[in-house]
Amino acid sequence: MTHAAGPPRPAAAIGRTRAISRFILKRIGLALLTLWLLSVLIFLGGHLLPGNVGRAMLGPFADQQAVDVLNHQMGTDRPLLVQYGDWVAGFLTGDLGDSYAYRAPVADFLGPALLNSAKLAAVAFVLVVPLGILGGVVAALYRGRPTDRILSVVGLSATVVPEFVSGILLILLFGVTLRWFPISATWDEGAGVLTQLYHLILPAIPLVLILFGYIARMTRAGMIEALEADYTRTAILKGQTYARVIWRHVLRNALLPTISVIATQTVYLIGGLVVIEILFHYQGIGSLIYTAAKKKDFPMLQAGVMSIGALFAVTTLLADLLYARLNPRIRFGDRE
Amino acid sequence: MGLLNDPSVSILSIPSAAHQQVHMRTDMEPFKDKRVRQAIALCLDRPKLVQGLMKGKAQVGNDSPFMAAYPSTDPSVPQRQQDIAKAKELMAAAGMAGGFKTTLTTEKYLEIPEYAVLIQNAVKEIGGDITLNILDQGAYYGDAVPGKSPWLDSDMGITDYGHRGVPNVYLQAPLASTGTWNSAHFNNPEYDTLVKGYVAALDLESQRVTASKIQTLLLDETPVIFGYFYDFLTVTRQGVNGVVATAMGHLMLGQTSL
Amino acid sequence: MKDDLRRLLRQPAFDIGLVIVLFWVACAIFGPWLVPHDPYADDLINTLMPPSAEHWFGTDQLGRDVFSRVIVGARDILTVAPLATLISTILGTALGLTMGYFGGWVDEVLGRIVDAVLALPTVIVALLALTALGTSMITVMVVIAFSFAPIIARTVRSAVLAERSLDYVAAAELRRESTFYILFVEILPNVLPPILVETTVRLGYAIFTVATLSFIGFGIQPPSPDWGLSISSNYGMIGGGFWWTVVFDSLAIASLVIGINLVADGIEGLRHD
Repeated sequence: MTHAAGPPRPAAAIGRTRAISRFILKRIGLALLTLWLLSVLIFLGGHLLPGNVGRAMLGPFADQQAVDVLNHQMGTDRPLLVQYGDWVAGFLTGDLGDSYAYRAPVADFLGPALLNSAKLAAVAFVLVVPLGILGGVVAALYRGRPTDRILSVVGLSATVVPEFVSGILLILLFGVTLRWFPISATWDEGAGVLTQLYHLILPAIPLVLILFGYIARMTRAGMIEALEADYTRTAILKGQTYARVIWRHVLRNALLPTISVIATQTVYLIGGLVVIEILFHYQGIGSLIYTAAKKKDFPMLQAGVMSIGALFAVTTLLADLLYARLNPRIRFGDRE
Repeated sequence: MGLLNDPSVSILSIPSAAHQQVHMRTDMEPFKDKRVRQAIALCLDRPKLVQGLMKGKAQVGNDSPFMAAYPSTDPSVPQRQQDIAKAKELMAAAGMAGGFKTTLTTEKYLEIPEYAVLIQNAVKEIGGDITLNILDQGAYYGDAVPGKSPWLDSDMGITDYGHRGVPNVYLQAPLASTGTWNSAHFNNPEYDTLVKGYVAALDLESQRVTASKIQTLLLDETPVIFGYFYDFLTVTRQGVNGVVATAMGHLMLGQTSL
Repeated sequence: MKDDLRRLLRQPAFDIGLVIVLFWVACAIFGPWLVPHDPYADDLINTLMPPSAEHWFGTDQLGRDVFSRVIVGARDILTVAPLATLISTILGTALGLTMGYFGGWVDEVLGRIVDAVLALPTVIVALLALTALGTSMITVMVVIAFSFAPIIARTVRSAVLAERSLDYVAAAELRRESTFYILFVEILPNVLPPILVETTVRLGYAIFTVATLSFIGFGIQPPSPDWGLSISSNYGMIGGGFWWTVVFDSLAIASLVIGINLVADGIEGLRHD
């Protein structure tokens, strides 16, 4: 187990800074590469369609001539590379184009949808992080005993059940039978925060179930490692109470892996959002993308997926940097 | 479909001419012989379809656009009933006693997927082996031109048709030899002449006479199965009274109360 | 091997998982002969009947027996998911072997691409594939192969890196064996154990994904009693009180996924001991 090495010498300090900058740059570069690849994928996906953009907008019964005129007007008969360049330029300057299905700027729908999904994700996070950490801590404190094993199996089971399955069972139990919660997540215009929360609890639970296992497992591992560390034994020997030791030293170190897990699990969370928003009729980014895909509304689809990709890249980057900042190994210059 | 089964809503229904057309390519095996088409049509238990699939909110169809509510319809043309024995006879006479295979391509819209499954089951009695290919609506219609549209190219399919006040559109586009919606590729000069006569007729009496002939011809040729005409549905929450609707989609709320 | 099996069987979690999986596999194989009713036969007079002695799980909106459909429904998901996993494993192994063996810029470039692909949630990839390729079974397999191969590649690559510097590889190179030979005849057998473990874990995810994708509207055609398809067709009606049309299919999916993961977890735990 590592421990603080004391104030670094000047030469080592420069080396450390360089290592950190290299690390940061590498991470940022990776994020940018991911986004670029994503943009290519999305663009290709949208334009490999049998049938074309003009036809998709005007529908199957329009005159072919009208379709050709529209295609020319929209510039979709230009070479693919030119269209791609145009789209990227537009995206970077904030012009996301108009939706084919709604004949209105994509940005008008994207903003509110992202906000809605953020609310749902926030509720889920607020519920799962304390629960997961608690679960991990308890499992670690009782490690090896039945409580630990049970928590482990429960966590695993919750993680692997598809969101729509747990969602439907929850709807049936709490929404239809017990009538404790509404089965549609959409609230009326101008509803207050509490009403919104009320609508969001049921849809948030499947997300909580998916993430609980991961967070609990990481916390447990981190806790165990910390519990068996030198500094813990030192603190106990120094006479600090067990509870104080846990709170001061152990938890702090145990939470490190949890942060990175939260970042990586964001990916799965987004997939879950799509399914849950469909199931609970919620106007978030997930159902927006789904409807756009079904309607072949490419501007909407492309903008939606890109924004998710960007969000994910940023979240992972921040989480990585945060992890590096908090992890004494990286901070004090041990080479990765 | 979900609405028809939901006990918390009340449904107002008005007879309408909206229907689903089950077309069979008259120029492709196994449907080239009209006896095969008749046999398939004879497999359907139409009253049960209306009761079970549409929960009673439909009128039985007689394989022509002439639904009972049209004034020009001749009500004396005998209604086709389910008759498996006759169907088997016809298949044998057409040399298909061993059964047939085909693909039914259609769209994911309203009750059509369920209707397709029911048809698939029904033809098992005469040895029919239908594979289903249910596409999104956009994919089914494709580019809406022959060669680029499952709707117009498929050997067998189901297409949705909305309500029209008079049957003229139904008589021409999907069934006339020059019709642009002719999924069945039906090409019958006698039919074309009759339809021209119907459209040109100046009074109800002559319309009825021509209609009768068209109904009989279509019953014989059966390029398309018109199984039922479904009602126009207006849905209200239980307890809302006095809403009046027309089949064209208008809601008259003058006498509505809660 | 035998010792491993014995150790596995002593873990209760593994046993439960195995029983569940074997049950559904049995249903998939023997289902059609064991069920009380024809899962495809409609009965328009008895639509949407609640569970009864005649129909243990009730009937759906076409009057079909839900119990029979749930049992036979195991077949589709237990055909598609393993097949898709197999394809991903083959692709991922090839990719991992290449990356691990050649190293250098090949590894760097492929590695970056792999990392980028891994950033995409499978559902999003599926929605993109939907617009380009349509909603067929092939699309589902492509999506899963595309999403899972990189993960398998990573595991294989690590394993290959460990083998790379060993003597037998150098010996093969000295003998001027073809690259193909070195990769697939020399190295592959030695990295098989981690591949097998990873594949079992991936199978769990594949089942999860296939179920989710068929719920969203991919791939499987009516009148298949596939669980995801049934739920997708029927969940609109649960507000009306017709719970039996979705609950049993949901529980089936849940049990199968949990079962496979308990098994995979056991196998994975074995490797780490």
